[in-house]
Amino acid sequence: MKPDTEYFEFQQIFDSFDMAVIVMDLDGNVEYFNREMKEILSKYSQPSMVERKKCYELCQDIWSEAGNRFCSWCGINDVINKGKTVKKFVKGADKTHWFFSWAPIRNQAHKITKIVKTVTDITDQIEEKKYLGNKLMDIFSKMRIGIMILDDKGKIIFLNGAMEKRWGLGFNEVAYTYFPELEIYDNNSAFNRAFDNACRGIRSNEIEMEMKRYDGQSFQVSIDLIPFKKDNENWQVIMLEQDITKLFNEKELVKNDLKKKEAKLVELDKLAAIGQLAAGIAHELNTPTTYVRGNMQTFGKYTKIIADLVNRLQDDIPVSERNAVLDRMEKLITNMKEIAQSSFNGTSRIMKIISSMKSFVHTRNNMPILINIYAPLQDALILVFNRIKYKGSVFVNEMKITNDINLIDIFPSISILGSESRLSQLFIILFNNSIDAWESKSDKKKDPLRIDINVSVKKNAVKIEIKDNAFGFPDAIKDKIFEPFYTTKSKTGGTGLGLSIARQIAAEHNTVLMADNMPGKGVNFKMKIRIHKKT
Amino acid sequence: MKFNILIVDDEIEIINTLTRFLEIDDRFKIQSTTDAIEALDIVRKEKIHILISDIMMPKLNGIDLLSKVKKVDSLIQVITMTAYSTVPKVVSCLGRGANDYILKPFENLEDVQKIIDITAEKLERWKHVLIESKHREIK
Repeated sequence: MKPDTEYFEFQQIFDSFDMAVIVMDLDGNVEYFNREMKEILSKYSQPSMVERKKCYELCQDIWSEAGNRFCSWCGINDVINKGKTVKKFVKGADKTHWFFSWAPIRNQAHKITKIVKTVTDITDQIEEKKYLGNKLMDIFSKMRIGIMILDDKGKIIFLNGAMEKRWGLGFNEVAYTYFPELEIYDNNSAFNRAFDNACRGIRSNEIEMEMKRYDGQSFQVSIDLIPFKKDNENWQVIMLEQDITKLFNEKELVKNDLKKKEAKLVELDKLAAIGQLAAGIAHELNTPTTYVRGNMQTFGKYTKIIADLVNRLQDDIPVSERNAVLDRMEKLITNMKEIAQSSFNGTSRIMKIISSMKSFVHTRNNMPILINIYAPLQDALILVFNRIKYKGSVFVNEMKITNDINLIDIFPSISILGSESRLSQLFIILFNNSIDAWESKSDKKKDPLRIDINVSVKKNAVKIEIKDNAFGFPDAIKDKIFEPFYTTKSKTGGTGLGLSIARQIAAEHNTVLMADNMPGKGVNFKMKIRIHKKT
Repeated sequence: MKFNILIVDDEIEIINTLTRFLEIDDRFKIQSTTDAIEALDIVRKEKIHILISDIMMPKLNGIDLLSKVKKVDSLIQVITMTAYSTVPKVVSCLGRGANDYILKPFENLEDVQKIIDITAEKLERWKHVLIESKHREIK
């Protein structure tokens, strides 16, 4: 070995290192090693070894036991080819473990001229790691939580006792088989996504999924996929699996219970609405009843008069009087025709109100079926019209609504999948809100209530807008209006459920009820429902 | 004497029913409107003896109409029709000068006619009293 003056300073620094260092040329001829290296060599080799020229010759006694010849064929070539540091773990004699690294030394022209190799004895660390690893596996095996380790292809590398027990799998039976091929796994897209992520070192949120045992019993499990990496190897995935069946069942129970309660609440709101509207509906029924009954009485009176007139005609009377009698009879008969028509219309009106009530109240109408969007709108208008008509007016698609509400025959039908009863409930809630807001205005006499309903078709959806000129609401409570039990009408007996139920009904129709608020001026409620296309 | 009767109701069919029932009586000349403001105009322009008015109406309600027509013609006989027949409501109408009231829905149109007849008779009596007192003044 001939120390090169060029590296003299480096050699001094290297000598002060705890780490063993060898400097060699590109052919592996050793040019220098530091004091630490000298100690390693003297511990495992003959002192004469220092005379050897090639690096692998120098090292072979120490690392030959494992048949390593890294120095000669791997490290140097890799450094020259890649131009950067190369690292290797190497097993040595007497169950020793070593960490090698080769780094290039470049000249001013950036050309690699020499190679520095460092050698570190990591036997103790490896032993410790092994011990910890074994201990960890031991702990894993005893844990109640199911643990499975998969490689990045999904092959099972490890399975703990809890997992074996729950699924009736023996590790020996399933080792190195693919997890997705196991019958317990029911192809789950969320799991697949999380597994793909874990194989790239990304940890996803926990997944709740169903797994089935061979005997058909199914479990709800929560699965956490933790990516981990052993040094330079590919990612592996630790799968933690917990049986949450009991929790899941309880949650489902609570959920169902809540659903039932919500449904009950909606029905209660319906009853409350009926209560609120009953007086108005009764009045609307009274009006046609009044005139149908009056008409019948008039009809009776007319028949008596006509009978008298007929008797008169049978007498011998002058022509002028006969003509007068005939004129009177003609007039009465014209009126009687009107009476028949008016009474017929009156009973139609009664029937329409009753039919709207029926379709609103019937719970079987809560199921979605194919309906015309104007049907629930018409029902709702018929039921609340008495509340509106003395306060202002309603326009549907800019047409003013009168006592004889008939949207179905006037506007072209728009089919949707929905519940007539629920949607009319939604509309009634909105109309009642508009009326109540208008009632709270101070200058209402100058400014009659106006509700504008616009139904328009946009692509595959029908857009329904209900705008009023009432009060709107302060912007500060914008986020609260759809919350249950939030009310600005506590004095007048609002329950605070109206808009939250309206939004729930909208959600049942896969839409969101939105409010465009104009504080002090009014509010515009909007929603879009998918049009049902005939197939 | 022929009586000019004006019927005001926002429901045209109620007007028609009353009209058809009353018009066969030669004593009555019947006019009608669904608009309370128009009714007030009619009262301003011509002599109306009996005004039959609904209470619940858009724009101008029956109670307000009552107060207004009484200012125009203090002798006009106003019969209010009400469906919401609470005592306070009736009292409120009578307090503002209503002369009688009819409950809606009408149980029997004959009763309605009777109420109108009574009012008509009253007007007839007043007429005689007025004529007699005029005679006395002249004498």
